[in-house]
Amino acid sequence: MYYPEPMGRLIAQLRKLPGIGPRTAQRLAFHILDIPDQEAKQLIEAIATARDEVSHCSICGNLATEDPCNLCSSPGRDRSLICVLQDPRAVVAMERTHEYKGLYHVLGGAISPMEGIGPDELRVKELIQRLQDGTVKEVVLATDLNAEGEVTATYLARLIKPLGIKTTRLAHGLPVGGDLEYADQVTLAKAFEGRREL
Amino acid sequence: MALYNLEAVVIRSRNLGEADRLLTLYSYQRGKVRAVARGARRPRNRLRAGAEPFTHGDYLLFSNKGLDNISQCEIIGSFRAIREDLIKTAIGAYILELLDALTEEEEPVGDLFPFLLAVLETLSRGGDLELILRSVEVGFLARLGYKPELGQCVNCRGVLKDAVRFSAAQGGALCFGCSRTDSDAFAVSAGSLAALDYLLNTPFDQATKLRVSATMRTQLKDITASLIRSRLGQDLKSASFLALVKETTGTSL
Ligand SMILES: [Zn+2]
Ligand SMILES: [Zn+2]
Repeated sequence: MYYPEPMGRLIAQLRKLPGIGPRTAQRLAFHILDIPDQEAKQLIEAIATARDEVSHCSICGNLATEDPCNLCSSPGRDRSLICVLQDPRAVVAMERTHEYKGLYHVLGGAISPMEGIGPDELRVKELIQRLQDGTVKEVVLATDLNAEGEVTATYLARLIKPLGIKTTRLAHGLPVGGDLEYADQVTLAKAFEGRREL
Repeated sequence: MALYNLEAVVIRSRNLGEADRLLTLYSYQRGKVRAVARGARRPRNRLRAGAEPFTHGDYLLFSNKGLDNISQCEIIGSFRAIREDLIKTAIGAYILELLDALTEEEEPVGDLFPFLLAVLETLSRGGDLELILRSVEVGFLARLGYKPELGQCVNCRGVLKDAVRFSAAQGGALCFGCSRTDSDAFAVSAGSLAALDYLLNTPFDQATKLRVSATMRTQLKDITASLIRSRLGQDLKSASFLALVKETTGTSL
């Protein structure tokens, strides 16, 4: 199919985005050309501003416009508690629960021995640094519930326990609204282990 | 669309696209096979647990143009005892990567699959992890056609007496007279060669109960490490994590 050259370039750029195939890229490109000038300028501006103004908090590694971020500098957060997460998206998910009042630490990934990703590629040193002054009493290891997340959690627990700080892991459970018979056996076994008295 | 069954262990699982996983399976029927588990990163996906490394299961696949897809998975064992222990995970990751590096796709090898299961079961139970690791290394090499010559000189077929050396390039022990044939060959004791021979020829769970001195352990490690390096031409990625875990926990491996 023939496009004017600038159009082809726009489609090629859009295709690099996650989850965007050739047809979607084409649809988005046509849409961008169709929208009013003003709207297109806002889109360009939003991309540029987000890229300019958002960076990683030097304490917790979360995305923020200020450094330290508003979570790290908030007087209302419980400073004895740090929740360790792989990804800034997980911070958003945790905050949505409105249950958690402690601080965060974003690792920027998980240990993956077979891919050659070790603790040095993650913000592990920064985490250990934060635990030195005795303020933190508990570290919640909320890495993903897959092999990489588990090895990351067990490794961190090994590093943190000698500091005399409690380490906890999120409970593995069944999805809310899921039928028991559809749960796989590993999930079910872990949920059984983590059962609570009623 | 052709469907087929594989009894397999997931030896590698990588993210693919937004929600998929690209699995490398080592199967009883076809040896190493790569396949896609669509949606396996979504929380409620039924392939999720079956897409985790170390999982042993019955997989139903359908062939596709390009990579085959996994349609169902019945988990036989998840080897949680490995995944929930730092040292065992580090060793396990190294073992799976070694198997991946030494094998070609769709080339099933005799008893490699049952050997892999025995390895994972033994690692789950625990014990002398260093000897387990050595047995696995030499066991993989032997089954894949790189069985080291330990009983006689690999160069002249002569009797091995004193001053024996080991040549990874030639794949076995060298007698004193032949030691010049490989400048990289290093000294090993008759006891180390006998121990390695025992590890190779004794059922896996028995072999790792052998009592071995610290000096011999170092030599066994030098032998297997040099053999692997000469076969692969590079170090495994998971070797560095294994070394780190060894250092963090103060374990000898
Ligand atoms: Zn922060
Ligand atoms: Zn000789």
